[in-house]
Amino acid sequence: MVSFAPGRDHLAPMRAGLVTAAKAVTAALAVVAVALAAAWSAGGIPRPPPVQPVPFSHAHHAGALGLDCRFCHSDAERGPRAGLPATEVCMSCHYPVEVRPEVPALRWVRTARLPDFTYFDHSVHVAAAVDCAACHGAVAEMAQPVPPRPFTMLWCLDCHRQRAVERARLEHCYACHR
Amino acid sequence: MPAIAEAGALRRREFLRGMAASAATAALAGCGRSPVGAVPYVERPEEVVPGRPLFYATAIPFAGFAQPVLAETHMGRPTKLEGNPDHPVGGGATDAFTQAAVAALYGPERSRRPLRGGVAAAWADFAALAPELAGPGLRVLTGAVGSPTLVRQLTALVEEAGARWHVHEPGLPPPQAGRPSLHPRLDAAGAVVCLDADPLGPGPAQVAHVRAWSAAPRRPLFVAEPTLSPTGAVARRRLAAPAGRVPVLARALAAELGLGQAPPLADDEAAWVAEAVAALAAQPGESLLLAGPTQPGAIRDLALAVNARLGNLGRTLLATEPVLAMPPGGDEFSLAALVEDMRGGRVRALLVLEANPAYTQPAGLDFAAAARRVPWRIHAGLCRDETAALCHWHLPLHHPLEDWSDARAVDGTAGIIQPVTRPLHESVSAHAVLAALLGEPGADPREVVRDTWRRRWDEDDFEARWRRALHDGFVADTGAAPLTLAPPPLPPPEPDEVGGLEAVFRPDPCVWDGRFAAVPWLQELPKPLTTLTWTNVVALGAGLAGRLGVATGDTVEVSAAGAAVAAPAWIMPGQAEASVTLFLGYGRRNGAGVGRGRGYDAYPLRPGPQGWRVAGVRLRRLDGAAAPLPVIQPHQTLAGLDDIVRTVAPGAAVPPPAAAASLYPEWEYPGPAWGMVIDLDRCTGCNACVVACQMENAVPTVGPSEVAKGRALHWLRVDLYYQERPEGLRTYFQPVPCMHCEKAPCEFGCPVNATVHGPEGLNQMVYNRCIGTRTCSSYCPYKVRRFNFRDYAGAMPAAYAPLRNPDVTVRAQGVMEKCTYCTQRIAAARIEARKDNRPIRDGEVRTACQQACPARAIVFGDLADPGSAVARARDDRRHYGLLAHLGTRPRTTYLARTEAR
Repeated sequence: MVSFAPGRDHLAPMRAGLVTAAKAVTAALAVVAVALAAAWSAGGIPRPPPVQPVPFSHAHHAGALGLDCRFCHSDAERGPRAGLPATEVCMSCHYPVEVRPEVPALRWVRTARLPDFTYFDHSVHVAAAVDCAACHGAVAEMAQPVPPRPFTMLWCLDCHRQRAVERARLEHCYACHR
Repeated sequence: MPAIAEAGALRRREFLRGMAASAATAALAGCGRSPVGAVPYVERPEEVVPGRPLFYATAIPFAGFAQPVLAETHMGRPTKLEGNPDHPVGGGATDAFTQAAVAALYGPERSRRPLRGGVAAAWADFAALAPELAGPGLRVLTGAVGSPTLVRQLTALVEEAGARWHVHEPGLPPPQAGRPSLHPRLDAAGAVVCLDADPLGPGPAQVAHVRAWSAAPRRPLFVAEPTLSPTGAVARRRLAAPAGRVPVLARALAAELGLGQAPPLADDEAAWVAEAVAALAAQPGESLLLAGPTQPGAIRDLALAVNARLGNLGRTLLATEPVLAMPPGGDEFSLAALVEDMRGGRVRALLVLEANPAYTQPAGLDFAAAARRVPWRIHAGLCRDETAALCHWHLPLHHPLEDWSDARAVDGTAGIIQPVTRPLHESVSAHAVLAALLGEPGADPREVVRDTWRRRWDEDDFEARWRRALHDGFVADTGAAPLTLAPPPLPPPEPDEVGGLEAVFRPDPCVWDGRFAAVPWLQELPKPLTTLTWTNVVALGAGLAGRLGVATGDTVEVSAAGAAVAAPAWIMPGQAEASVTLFLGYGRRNGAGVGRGRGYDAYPLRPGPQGWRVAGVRLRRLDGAAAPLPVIQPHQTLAGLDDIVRTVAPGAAVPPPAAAASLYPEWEYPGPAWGMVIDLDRCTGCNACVVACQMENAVPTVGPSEVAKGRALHWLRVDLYYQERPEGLRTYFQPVPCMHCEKAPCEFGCPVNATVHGPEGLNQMVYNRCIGTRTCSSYCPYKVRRFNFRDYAGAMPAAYAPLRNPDVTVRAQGVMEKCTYCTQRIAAARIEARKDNRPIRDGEVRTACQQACPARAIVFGDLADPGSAVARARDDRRHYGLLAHLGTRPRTTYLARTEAR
């Protein structure tokens, strides 16, 4: 049985709790806002490159050896996706003559990603003489490349708007979305 | 997060502090997306380019006949079927069933593994058992069979193992053993008269017939039939005559041409016969009289005699060796004979191969009771259906897209069926099942099929021919061999049918004999002549309904010969008053997925395995409220809407509309400006375009209750209108996709700019901007916009997810969607053209509806190019825009229907 003594604020503890809760939520939101702002201005939260199944170095293959990007990403001229090389492509250099070992399928971690509602086609960009580095950065200098910037819509549009001839079509939604 | 498990000691303040910290951490971790793997090939198939579709030529069998297709696959996953443009049949078009066949591949209703007594079993166990079953006591029941390999195996089973082969095809009359196949040449006939025949209606030959008819769709066509059919809908003169009266009309028609005695006719019948005879006689050798397969054999013979008299045989009516194979012996190999033998204990083992007699049996057969007397019952089929439930063994069969086989198209052209994907389930090939019975349990179905062809081709160039056949999708010059028909003797006149009410049976236009009941896209496909979905009805004439006090939706009881079914009534325009129509294919009980328990089962009233008509029917209204029916278009009269479907006299022009002023500026198109023209003379309402659109654009189904609320999602609908004219009932079909208006009201209405005018004239939805106000839909005078009231895509069974076209965005709940003119196909063509530095060629972009249309009613292309097919179609005198007076300036326009008055 609760007794109500006159002059005493029975709700004081609850009120104090609510104030604390409000403060905590505000603090949490502030942290989130700061983090988002930082991510926004920096063009992505710098993250270490993901751990890949094979310690493959782009700097060695594309830089030191001077391999063309399309040697491995051979679909870049043919279709929408540049593609990752089949393991047998690796083996053609690494095991050129010996009996090749049985290799399992490699499960790479993707670093360059577009949203699912964006329909990007590599082949038409290659045909329009857009350099790979324009989007993917100086891959030949990075052991494990990460895109220099996240692939945002504004960034795509920056480039599309420079194409004076096809500008009306290239800056329209349906250039990339369907 | 502090150990919250010890929360008993935790004070609230600490808890809140901990929560705040956790939330902040979670928010930080949430920036950026979770990593996604990419798994390249170990050894890459040469022809695969990820992101690019790969097409394989194959075929989908339907009722024994091959429907030639090119299967579109993405990384080994079939997503769409197109017609095979090089095939002698169909010219690249398809029907609605074939379009939906790829959905059936993924259907969740398919059996996952072999079952013995309902328990998971191994195929190897059956293969070990099989040789014991082969022998004189073995019976095999199949549907219609045209596959040369299946015929070879069944023949071997009959000849070597002493088994017997029975055929049961409920939706089609069986080919009579030893009788030639007849092929009407609708393209060569200057005038056609149909006696209860429906060449343009659904069936294995629909694509071929519609295509041939569309060569010149304004020819005189006369139809007498008990219930409206697609052929009757496009007829110049149609007579609603009970099926029992059609033989009388046939005899009257023959008598006018000098064959036999003329029976007495009513006035309207006499007028129709006189006109039909005049049209036939005006073009001897170039006319055609067709008696439907639902009519008695004597009437079909009479029609043949009339065609012979007119000199049509060999010109508009060709005869060839039979395309489908039948076991020799006629009735001895029917379903009824099988049931008789089973009842008599003369069957030791029964293999039911892709047939469902427990559901499709006619009245009074009781297959189930007879089957229980068979010691070994084996069912092989895609689903565990009503028949499988009666069998000891159930062997899941491959879908045709997973299997090796062969089949013959309606003209007899043979084609190899090749797998385009790995089997999704633990299923087997029908050829492997028969091979096991023949004592080759480990036979590879590919080798079984190759064996068939090795016997026909020289060993020297076998591999080259095999590769050629696989590549082309058919074996050249294998059309059925022509025969010369001798005119049959005039059949003796049969006594006229006594009057009274009759019931006629028709396979459902969307689920056929019930075999497609599990495919949601076919269930939700509006039936062409009612726009009803998800269920079947009893069709009756307005006069009969008025006498009985029945309204559409009321439950009625149809009884005949001791059996009765209760079903919702539908007052059908053009129905013969003495006929009611029952549609087969509903009331499925097992293995029908979403089709289970929908509608009523009409088979218990059917008088025989091929019974199309039962006389002496009683109809009464049952008490109770009218059931709401899931109808797409409840209002179907054209009265007062004459400017929707325009009609012109032959050679006349549609008056051009007054130029509508607009306050808005003109758009400029530096490149192509897309447009579409739909020819209403050609459209037969077959619905192939509707399903093709759904498959191409990953349009989900919504279910009957949502359809009843007007929420169906079809991007392309075929509007249906009826009009009573002095000369008879007129039926109009009008396919309505998005009009892609030049001055689109939706664009002005959207408050968030989620629907915009594209640089090539398309009216485009930006799904990510859409907040679902539905303003655009209320502004749209054509009502072509579809709203996702619920998460329809997400509510589809997960098994259908691989069916989705990867080049199309899946729309979420709360988002408007509509026809895009297949913008993904335009984008693909644009990319190819840009890579070659050339403009997009005329005909390079074909929309899904256009590609599927057997009537070639849809033309799509660049309006800015005056030489394009679509620009030329716009110059036609029959050209008009729907609701053009509103000033929307639609890009989808129509060619008016020509009507000889």
